[in-house]
Amino acid sequence: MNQSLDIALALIKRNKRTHLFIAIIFIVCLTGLVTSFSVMQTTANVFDKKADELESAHIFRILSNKNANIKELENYFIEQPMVDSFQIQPSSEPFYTVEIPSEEDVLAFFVETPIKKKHDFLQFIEGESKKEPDTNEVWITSGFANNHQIKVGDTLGVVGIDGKSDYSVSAIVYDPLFVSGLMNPTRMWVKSGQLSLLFGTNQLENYSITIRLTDRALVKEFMQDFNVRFPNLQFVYSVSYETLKATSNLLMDMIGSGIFLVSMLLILISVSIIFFIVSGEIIRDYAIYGVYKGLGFSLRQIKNINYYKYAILILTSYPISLTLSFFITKLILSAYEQSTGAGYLEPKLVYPSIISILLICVIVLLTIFFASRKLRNLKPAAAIRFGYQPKIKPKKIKERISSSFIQMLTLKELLMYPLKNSIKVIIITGLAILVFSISMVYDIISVFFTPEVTLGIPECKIYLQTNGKHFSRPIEFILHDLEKEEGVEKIIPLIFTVNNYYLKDGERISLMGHGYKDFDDHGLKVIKGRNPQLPNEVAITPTLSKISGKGIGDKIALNIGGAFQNLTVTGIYQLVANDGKGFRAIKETFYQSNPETEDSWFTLTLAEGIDVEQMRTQLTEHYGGDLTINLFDEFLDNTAGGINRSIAVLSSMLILVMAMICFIALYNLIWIHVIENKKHYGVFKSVGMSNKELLQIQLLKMSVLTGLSCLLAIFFSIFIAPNIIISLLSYSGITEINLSLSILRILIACVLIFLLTIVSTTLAVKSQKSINLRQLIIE
Amino acid sequence: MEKRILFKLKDVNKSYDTGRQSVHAIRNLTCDIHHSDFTVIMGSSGSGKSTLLYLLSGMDQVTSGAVVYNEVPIHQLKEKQLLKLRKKDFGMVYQGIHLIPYLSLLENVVITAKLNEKSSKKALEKSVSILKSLDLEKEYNRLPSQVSGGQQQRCAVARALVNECEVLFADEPTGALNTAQGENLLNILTKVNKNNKSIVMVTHDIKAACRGNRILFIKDGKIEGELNLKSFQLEEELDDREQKIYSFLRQRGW
Ligand SMILES: Nc1ncnc2c1ncn2[C@@H]1O[C@H](COP(=O)(O)OP(=O)(O)O)[C@@H](O)[C@H]1O
Ligand SMILES: [Mg+2]
Repeated sequence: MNQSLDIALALIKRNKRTHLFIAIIFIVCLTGLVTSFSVMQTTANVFDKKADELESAHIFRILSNKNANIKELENYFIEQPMVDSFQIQPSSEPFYTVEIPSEEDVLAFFVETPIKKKHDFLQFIEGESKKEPDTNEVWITSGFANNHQIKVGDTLGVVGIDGKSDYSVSAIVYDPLFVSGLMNPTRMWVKSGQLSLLFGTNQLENYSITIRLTDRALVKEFMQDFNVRFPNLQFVYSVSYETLKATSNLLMDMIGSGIFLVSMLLILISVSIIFFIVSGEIIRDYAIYGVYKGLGFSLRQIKNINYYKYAILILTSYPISLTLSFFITKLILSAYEQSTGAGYLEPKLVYPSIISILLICVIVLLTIFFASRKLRNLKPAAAIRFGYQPKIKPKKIKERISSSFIQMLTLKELLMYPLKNSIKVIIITGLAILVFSISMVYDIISVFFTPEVTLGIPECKIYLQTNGKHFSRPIEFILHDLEKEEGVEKIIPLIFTVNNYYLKDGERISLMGHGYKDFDDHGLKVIKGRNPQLPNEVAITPTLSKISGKGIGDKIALNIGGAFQNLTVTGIYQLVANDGKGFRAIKETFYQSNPETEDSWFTLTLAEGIDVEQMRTQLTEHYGGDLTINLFDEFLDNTAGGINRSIAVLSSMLILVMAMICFIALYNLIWIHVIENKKHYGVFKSVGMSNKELLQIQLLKMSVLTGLSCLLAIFFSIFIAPNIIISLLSYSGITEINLSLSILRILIACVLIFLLTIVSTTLAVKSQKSINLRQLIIE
Repeated sequence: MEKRILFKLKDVNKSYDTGRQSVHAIRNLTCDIHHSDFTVIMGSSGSGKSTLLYLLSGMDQVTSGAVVYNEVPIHQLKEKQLLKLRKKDFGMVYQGIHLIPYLSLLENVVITAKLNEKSSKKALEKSVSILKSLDLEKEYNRLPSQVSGGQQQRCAVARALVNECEVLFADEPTGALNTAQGENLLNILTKVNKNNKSIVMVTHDIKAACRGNRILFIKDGKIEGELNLKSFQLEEELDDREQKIYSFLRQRGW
């Protein structure tokens, strides 16, 4: 036993460079694993814990007051045994535009703070802790504050009945449900009675209803009961605990699984490297093992040498990895703490570290076991005299040999090492697929974020919204003036409603509705069928089609603005807004339900060369009191900017890490290959092969493998990736994307990948400087 | 007739630096090696025989002194020029044989031929004819591991000869072979020498040494003496030659 340990130590000392390299691989793998597990474990329960601690509601809805009987609702909640507590508070519309100091507008809803809170308690992170905000004060959530760099004392502007009012931020609170910076719109708290001042008592028609159940698993059951009981209530916004939790954890989950994926990849690659190092060493040291065997070592003891060696390497890298992952986890968590105000989180390392080392040990153990099978039939005498003689199956070899020396040897090497070559192909293919897929993700993002698909409105830079119904003059006059405004070419008015629904098993699926005179005129496309043209026709989204089970030609019953209509489906179109639930109909269809339905959104086509910012200022000056002026790009940045930026950072990190892994792996695989074949190359050199020819052989071989990998990756990206991406996206209402991999981008990516393999190959071969001929052939 | 000088060595020194101590393997060695001779270098293990051979063939560099081959100073050549010599002028046969295990016997020879011969057809023809002459016709397509040691070594000789070298170097070529295989190989070398090729062979086997017409005895990196014999004839009795060499060696402390 001890002898094996001594020999293991001596072997490590003898070949410091290789073993240092293996130790570094172990450190990176272990650190990645521990960090990813730890980040996920530490943050997994933060949302639940905080929500439990502060007794958050499980259901959040905004009720449109038109035909609601609040008293009846309250009685129902009191009697319903599943309800633990409820709060009904005056609220603004769900998508209310708020001006913040950084000058972009954001969406939020204002809720009056209850005099006596029964749930949804808040934790004060900055500012004075009070029962409720003072007049003209507002409390905002930590994630929102962090996302927009708002501090206590800053002012937010809100347009109300008397024009713009300023609200000063008096506290930043930890509001578990809306803690994530990705929440859009977010919740803002004001003093009770404030909203009727702001919007006027007549205008106050929305209520925020929050319900805390006896158990959050009951949400679905409760909602069914509720919908049966109140089939006619109109909700303009509703989310449940699970949705909010998923959104809040999205970023951490993405980071955690990203790191996990990368470390699994690393492990895969390091397994192959360790495999070749172990078997390579066995081949190299075959004669030495023969000597040991001749000295009376058992096969077990010889194998133990390897186990000891890797055990020593893992054990020395373990503490370093733990320290590293502690700090990296802390770094990631502190970003999380800062953005949410979650308070100090202690990185959980115990289980992650145990799981990670077990994982690594098992993998390495298996690798060594398989790699050292070559030792099984070691015969001391033959081993000492001839070293390792690979068993090669006889092959029929053609006598016609019509290639050059380089081509011949390259071909041989390609055929001789199928395992090694496949691993190289897998590594390069992985990188190529990653690059191609990420380029596709950008394609998708650009399809995703057009006005047509996000909001269901025609291509535009600016769109206008009516805020309430109290205009200083009739809307027709305003529009008339708008048309004459300098720089405005065309105005398209549309009906944009959210008070529609489809009934499924007693549950209301709320729908966004768009009404135009003619969809085709405005360039709004369908992916199947055609746009509606008659009052009894409708086009629906893939999501609604799936929910209702209706397709083109079927009749569908939709509640539009309070009345049911039976409409024929003429087409399917894509929409991201409202979770992809919506429909299109011509304006007459809306008038059939309610003759007083009004156009509420207007998209502007601007003359060429008009500066959008300037246009906004100009329009705000003239119509600011009556209309909200929105820039589409700003809307995008508000709703998707965070996700976009995360994707950009994450994907460039992924590509960078993968490229590094690829480079290191290829470099080392080739390096090991040349070492293993040192003797053969030495023999070739002694009959006149030059170093240049050796390099050319390796380059030719790697080029063939890289070409193969790129083809594989292109095949994958064209035929397989789109299906995966579409099925991942289908929840969002997108079912069809024209995923065209641009040839130019493929070419650039391929060239870069070729460059990477060529550089790593050249460096690896060059690092072998000159193979010393004399030393090779020592007799 | 005075023989042409093939190699001229002058004050050659070679020491190996192993970190802790340096080994002085060749010390102030001066000698000539003649064209079309079958030169045998003998000496005990560690005396510097192989070192001398590798210095001659340009596979290792001298520490000091000069090695001149056909008026070309090998010790001053760049890697590129040495490559040319290895390709065209020198052939090598090792004790360890060193065929490429994943190439068939024919491929082992062809691939070497291709380093010199652009035409694939010619390279193939040359290789086939040389393998035929070495009695390896039936084994063309076998891998080295599928033939005997003697056949492997014959293939190695074919590989060394395929580029029509001037000088064939052999470092204990019979070391890994049994007696019969060794005899067979030595016969081949003798035939090669008869075809006017120079051979420099290292051995410590007296039977093998009998094939030479000039025996150099090396001890502690210096030439301690030389013995000149008539060229060996294939049907000649060995006893007499063996006796001569043996006493030559004994006198010098073998
Ligand atoms: N690469 C080397 N490094 C250090 N010493 C060496 C090396 N090669 C040979 N030697 C030493 O040089 C001397 C001569 O070696 P060598 O020429 O191989 O002897 P021979 O072939 O006569 O047995 C020996 O003492 C040997 O140990
Ligand atoms: Mg020797």
